Amino acid sequence: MNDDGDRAQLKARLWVRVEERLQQVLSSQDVQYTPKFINSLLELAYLQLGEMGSDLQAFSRHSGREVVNESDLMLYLRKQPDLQAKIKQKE
Amino acid sequence: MASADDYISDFEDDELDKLYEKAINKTVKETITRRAVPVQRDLHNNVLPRQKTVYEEIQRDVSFGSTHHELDYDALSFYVYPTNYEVRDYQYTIVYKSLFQNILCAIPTGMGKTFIASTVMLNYFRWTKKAKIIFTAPTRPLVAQQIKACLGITGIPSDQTAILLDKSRKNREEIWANKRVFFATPQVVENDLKRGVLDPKDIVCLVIDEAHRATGSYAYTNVVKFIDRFNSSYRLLALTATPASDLEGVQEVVNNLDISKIEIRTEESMDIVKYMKKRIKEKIEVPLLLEIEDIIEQLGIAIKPVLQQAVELGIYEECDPSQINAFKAMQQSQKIIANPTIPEGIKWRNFFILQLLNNVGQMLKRLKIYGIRTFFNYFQNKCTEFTTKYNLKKSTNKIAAEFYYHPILKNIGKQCERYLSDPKFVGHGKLQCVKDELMDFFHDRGSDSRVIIFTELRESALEIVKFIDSIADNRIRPHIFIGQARAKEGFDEVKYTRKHAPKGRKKIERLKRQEEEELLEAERNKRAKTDKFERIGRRTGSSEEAQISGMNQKMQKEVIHNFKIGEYNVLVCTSIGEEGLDIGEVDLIICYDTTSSPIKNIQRMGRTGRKRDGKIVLLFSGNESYKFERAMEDYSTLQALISKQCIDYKKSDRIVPKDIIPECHKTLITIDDENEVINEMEDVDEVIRYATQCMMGKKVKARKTVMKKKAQEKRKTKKFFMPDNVETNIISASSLLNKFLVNENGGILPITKSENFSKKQKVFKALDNLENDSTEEASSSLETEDEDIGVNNHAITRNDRSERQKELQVDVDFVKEDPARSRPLSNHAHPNMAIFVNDFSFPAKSEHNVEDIQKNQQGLKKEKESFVEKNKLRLTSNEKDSFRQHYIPESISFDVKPNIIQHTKGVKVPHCKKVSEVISLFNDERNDNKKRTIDMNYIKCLAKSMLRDTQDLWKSGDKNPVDNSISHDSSQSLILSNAELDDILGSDSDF
Repeated sequence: MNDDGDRAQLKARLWVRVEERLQQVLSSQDVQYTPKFINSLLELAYLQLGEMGSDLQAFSRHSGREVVNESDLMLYLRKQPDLQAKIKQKE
Repeated sequence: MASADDYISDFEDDELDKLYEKAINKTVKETITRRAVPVQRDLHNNVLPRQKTVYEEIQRDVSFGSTHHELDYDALSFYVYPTNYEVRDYQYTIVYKSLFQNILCAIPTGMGKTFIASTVMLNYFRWTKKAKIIFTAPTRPLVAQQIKACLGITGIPSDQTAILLDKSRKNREEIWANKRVFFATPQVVENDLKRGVLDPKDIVCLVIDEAHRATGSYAYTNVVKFIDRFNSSYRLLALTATPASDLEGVQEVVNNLDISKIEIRTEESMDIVKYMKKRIKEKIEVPLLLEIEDIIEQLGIAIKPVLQQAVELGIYEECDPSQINAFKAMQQSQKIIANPTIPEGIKWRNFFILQLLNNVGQMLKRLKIYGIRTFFNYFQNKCTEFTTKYNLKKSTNKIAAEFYYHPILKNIGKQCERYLSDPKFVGHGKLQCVKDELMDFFHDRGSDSRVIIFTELRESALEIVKFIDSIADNRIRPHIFIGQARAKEGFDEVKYTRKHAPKGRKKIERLKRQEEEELLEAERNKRAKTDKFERIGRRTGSSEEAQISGMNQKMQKEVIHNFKIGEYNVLVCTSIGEEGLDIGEVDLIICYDTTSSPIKNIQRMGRTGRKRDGKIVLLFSGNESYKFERAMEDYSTLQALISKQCIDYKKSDRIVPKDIIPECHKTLITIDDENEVINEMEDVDEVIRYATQCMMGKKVKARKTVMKKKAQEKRKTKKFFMPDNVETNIISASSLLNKFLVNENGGILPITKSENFSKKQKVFKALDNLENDSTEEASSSLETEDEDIGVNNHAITRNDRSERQKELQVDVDFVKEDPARSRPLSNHAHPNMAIFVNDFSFPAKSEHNVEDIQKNQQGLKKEKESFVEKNKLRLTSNEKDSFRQHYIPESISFDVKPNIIQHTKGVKVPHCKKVSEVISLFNDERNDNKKRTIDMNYIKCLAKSMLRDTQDLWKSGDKNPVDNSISHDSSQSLILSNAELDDILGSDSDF
């Protein structure tokens, strides 16, 4: 039960972010979206992030570490050099 | 059989009529008053047979019930009168009257008929919810004008309007069904009514422009008749400048269009005068030139013997030879032909005499009215035609020969040739007048102004163009404007002679003849070509070209366009230019000739004084001034008669309920930008194109849905409009007879019949069942197969899961090392991602031991194997799949949400976890899975509350924003910094 509750909390938090993001992206264009759309987008984002998490964990374990760090993220993003560059810039 | 007879005679004719007209809200009460009439009697005081003893007077009281149209009662309380233009009293009264009665509105040209029509249309548009409003006009320019007014002044929304100008437009059904305001030609409306595309009961307002055409069997008449049969509750507004040329004509129009009142205004009417632009009428009597008088006299000498003969025979009135009238002669000749009592020989002799007189009359008319050049063309043509025919013995008309071979004719010919060879010769005094007028006019006004010259004959039009051009003044640029018929080809002497020359019978001769013909043909073509080039080279070339080949619609438009922009500023028109040319800049009208039709004269004069004051010059010679005065006099007496209530009107439905009296709201209607555009348009085509686009614009949007429906719509059968409560079926005569038999015999026949019927149905049912059964079987077997696959899927996923559990074992161990953290999932010291390791029903209990898992795995393996075996046994899944692919269900539908097949093509390999999750997500959404939606909404609510809370928190500036959440640790885990989250979300681009 607690598990489910946590997941719901997490998803809700993500929901907030997703909507924020959607509004940012769509504010410039004159596009409307249904609540249903945002629901399913949330689910997709959640799934994607879940997979990303497991990937990162797998990467870190492969390199013999217990803690996921930035290098794992870089490995994860190896196919998106632009994104990599951005993250590096931020640091 | 007696009973049958009784049955039939149950209905009187008028009763049947009543039944027939049940759909109409009109009731006609007839009261017949009979009075005895004195009759003639014989000596025994008996009434002589075949006399009417009573005199019947029938009085018709027409009353109307409530309308069947859906009215918008809120809007009914007032009517809108646009004040975008100056409010004119006469328009105001006419609008008010035509809202409640069928009005024939006859006001002079250029006084805003269009405005009246659009105001009435606007109000009916407002008052009704669904009913249709139709505007009809016979020509494109008129339609365009009305569209402009409707969209530009009254602001009827353009997506409610449709424009139907030709029968070729497809899917008119849809257009009629979807729109409310239509601009069409009467032919289109008539056609669609008859085809059953347009329901006459939907019509609430019909506007008819140029209503004087509603006579005989013109489309207007038919449309109104057709609608009347089904619908008496519609408003008709007829517009014209000239109702008809006599009282009978007006009555006919009134009868045909069910008019209740004529609103007639003349140029002298009190309420019109103050709005009229000033039009100065100048009548110039042009004396005949001496040369013309001379020729007339000579012609008279030549024709005198023929005329005398005609007078002696009593077929033509005695008159001076110079007064021979072509029209009279023709009328007489037609009368003679139609008269069957005259013996053939005499008939034809008389006919030929009159024909000759007709020709001479034409010559005289041309001479007097149009000038020598026009006359000479005609004269020469007729002469050569006759003489060649006579020489070839094709004609043995002695009387005509006497005339055409008269020595004086040769003299005329020579004289004319001599005159015409002088390029400075003026063919008629009128031409000189035209020149003077034009010079004066352009001297005063500059070359911005426009002039229209009217004439009846094309030849004359060309002559005028050439003459004006010969003035060689740069300010005056003339062009011809005529209809599209080709010019009549003059009589070709060479061709005729060849055709009728004695022919040789031998082959060589025939070949020779053919060769010669080809040569001649080639030569003619060559000459035509060089002529054409020459013409093009000249300044008036295009006019000449047009005169010969006629002007098609495209050329006409081009000329009008050039006339508007000022490339030409003098337009020489035949009758084609009389109606509907609305060019505001025309300041001068010259009527080169007059017609005896007042309508034509008025229409001609109506071309000027539209935007500013104008001037009309009427050129008279011969008896033209008399003709003109008489025509106009007739017309004004007619107008007087009409306003004296000499017309028998018809009562019309008020439509608006009697207790509602709409008030007038004078409002300035603001036109949205979209329609504002139309006000700036000048060109007819531009307006029509714009309106069509508006109409289509909506349709493009609607098309997507339409496409799906199309299959259905194509099957839509023709609808026949019948009076209500009519049995519609094909009924055989025998079945009708049976009805009577049933009455007498007690119904044996119908039973046998119904048996037959049910049997047939049964057969069909059985067939149906067969088909259905087969498909059902197929589908059910498919389902079972699906289940099998599902089991397999489960097995594999379970297998998968257990493996992952193994991996997690390590994780769990790690967690145990740190006793402070009870559960790994809520551990915020961990990288946040750890939470996502395994999201679905993750059994995080560490009690699992390896043995269990192994057992599990073994079990799963067994399952797997058994499944594979099963699969081998009935390996028809591929076949089923292909069946599924090729099987087309009856209704085709499109899914918005992607429907990804559960498995990759290899069937045995399941999708990866994420993909299968995505699939299940969409599956749930497609099937509207309740649990999923509830979950989602729950999360949404949580999110909302969280959003509120965090906002509150940020406002209060609390250092520890954690406490308010539901559970301590979970909320902590949720505190993601913005940057982090953005990063995560940034990688969304992955999918």
